[in-house]
Amino acid sequence: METRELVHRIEQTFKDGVISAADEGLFPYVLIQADALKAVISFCVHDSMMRFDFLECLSGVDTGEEMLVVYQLFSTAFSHRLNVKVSIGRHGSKLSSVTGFWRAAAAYELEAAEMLGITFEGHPAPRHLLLPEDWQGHPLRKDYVFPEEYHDVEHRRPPLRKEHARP
Amino acid sequence: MGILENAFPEYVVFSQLDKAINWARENSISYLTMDLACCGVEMLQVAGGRFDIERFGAVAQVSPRHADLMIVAGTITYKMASRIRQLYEQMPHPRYVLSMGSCSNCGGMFSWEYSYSSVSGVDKLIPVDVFVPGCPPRPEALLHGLLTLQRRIAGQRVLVRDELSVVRGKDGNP
Ligand code: SF4
Repeated sequence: METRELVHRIEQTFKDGVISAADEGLFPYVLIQADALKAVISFCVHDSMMRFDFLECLSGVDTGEEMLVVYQLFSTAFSHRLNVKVSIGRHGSKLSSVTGFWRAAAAYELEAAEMLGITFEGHPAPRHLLLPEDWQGHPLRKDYVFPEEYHDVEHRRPPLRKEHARP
Repeated sequence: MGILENAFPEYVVFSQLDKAINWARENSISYLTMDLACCGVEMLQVAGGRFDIERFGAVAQVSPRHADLMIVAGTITYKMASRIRQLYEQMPHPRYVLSMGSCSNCGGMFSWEYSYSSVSGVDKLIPVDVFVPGCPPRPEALLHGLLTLQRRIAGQRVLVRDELSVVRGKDGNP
């Protein structure tokens, strides 16, 4: 299907669930409500016209006001693509995991969880993927403050001479 | 060396023995490669035919138990820091550390102002003998760093009592 038809199909099926959509440009997407996520993803995977059986990428975005989770879907049967965006709050945000639809989502969700502090409910093995297990904070958030020290190693390294200091 | 180390007055025989020991040490360095990032590729290059670090008696060693020198080349993350310290502690005395590249010298372009996860300098973890500047340093620069280390080893006192050893500790490191 064309991108336009895909977007319209989702818009028609989930009238209230869709916040906004763009069916052309470099990044056509459907922005949906967080509580409609599971239904929309399930529709994308199982609908006979869509059959999105491959998750190309899942990424978390901190825009400063809200958190976005972007699902980039691909169908190996029809070779069409669609991007699904979900908008959630910046604090204590929860989203249901899509590992039931694609196993590949597990690693992506771990990364988004540790970097942005989004909780994916129903993830099979929540843990840290890239950061040390006892790391505090979520580094890719806009309000992240660098650590002063980690395991007794001081983070700062002041310049040796004053005149080399950055203003 | 144990009880013999720094135990003798400065007589000719002990000074000459020191020279012989240092000569053996400086010309048979086994180095442990800690290639952590792009500098590591440049470090591997010195073992190749064009630069050939074996001319100076240094040979790569995979086990920390058999290594004399640790060449830290690349960006050190906090996750890696504990491993570096552990490997350093497994090395037998006398042990030396050469820090290669801006990242392991002071954090480089991943310095503390820009990166949350990289250690700003390997000298925050383990004592360093030679710093080689550059991003990355040319292989010649690493060879120069090795020669600098050899000169430093040549000046060490092994059997002869060293007034400074009280301050500097047994292995000559601060
Ligand atoms: S000093 Fe430069 S070349 Fe070396 S590891 Fe750091 S960024 Fe890479």
